[in-house]
Amino acid sequence: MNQHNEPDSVARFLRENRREVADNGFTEKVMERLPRRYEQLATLIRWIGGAAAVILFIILGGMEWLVASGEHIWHSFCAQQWGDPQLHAFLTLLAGLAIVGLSNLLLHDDC
Amino acid sequence: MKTLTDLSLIAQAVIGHNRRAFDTLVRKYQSQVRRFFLHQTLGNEFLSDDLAQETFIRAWLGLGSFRGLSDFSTWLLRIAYNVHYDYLRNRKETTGLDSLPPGGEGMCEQPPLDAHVDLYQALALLRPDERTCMTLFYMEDLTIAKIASVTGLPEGTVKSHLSRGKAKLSNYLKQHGYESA
Repeated sequence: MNQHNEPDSVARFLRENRREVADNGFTEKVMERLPRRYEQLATLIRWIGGAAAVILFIILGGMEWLVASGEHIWHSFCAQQWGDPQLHAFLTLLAGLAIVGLSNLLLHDDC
Repeated sequence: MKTLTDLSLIAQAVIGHNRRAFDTLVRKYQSQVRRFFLHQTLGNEFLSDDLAQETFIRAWLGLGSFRGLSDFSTWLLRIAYNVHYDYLRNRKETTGLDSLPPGGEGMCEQPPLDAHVDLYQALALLRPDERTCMTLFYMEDLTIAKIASVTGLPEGTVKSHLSRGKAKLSNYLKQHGYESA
């Protein structure tokens, strides 16, 4: 019977073939795909915050402090290990050459 | 009571950002939505599930716009219809009209039971809008007014689709010896 109580083969055929679809993890998949409400806003805040931190770091002299600290650590390390001031310069030069050499190696690799 | 429960869940999901409430709604209506797409895609389960997921994601994003003027299931089916319509339109743009099989968007990719083979073969005879109206009317028990609300078609057009769809299916069933009650 259809909604108007008329018996007909089409209505009967379609109703007989109506079936419930088991969930089988479908809902979990949907919930995983749902965007978090403030996801985009949170991402934007992270990027703005990160950019602001980098700019402030540079403006407030963070780079100079970083270089000075690095030099101090390197010289302290050399003095502790070998105690020879001239060796410091030599080791620094060696490290610089190694970096340049490695860069050239990588460049040639690309060709 | 059913409407009150749905409204309560929707309110929790919208106001309280309660994902568990939405989870309950999805579990409750996933069968109906996926069944709708199975009928429109002629049994393509992978495509149906993709479209059904898209439907629920759109529902989640637009939940705040649900005013309770219709049943939640009707509102959901309206979204599902639009998702399917968008899919068909995108497919036509990329593949061209000539490559579409007559009366259907694709055949079964799963080996369904015999009854479902007959169902999808029967539904393949119908044009998309006829198939939508017929399945919503006979298999989801929607009234003509609700079908018009879901599809955005005038009620007169819905009735025409039902009339033509019923004639085609009736002919098919007679040809295949399906006994009427």
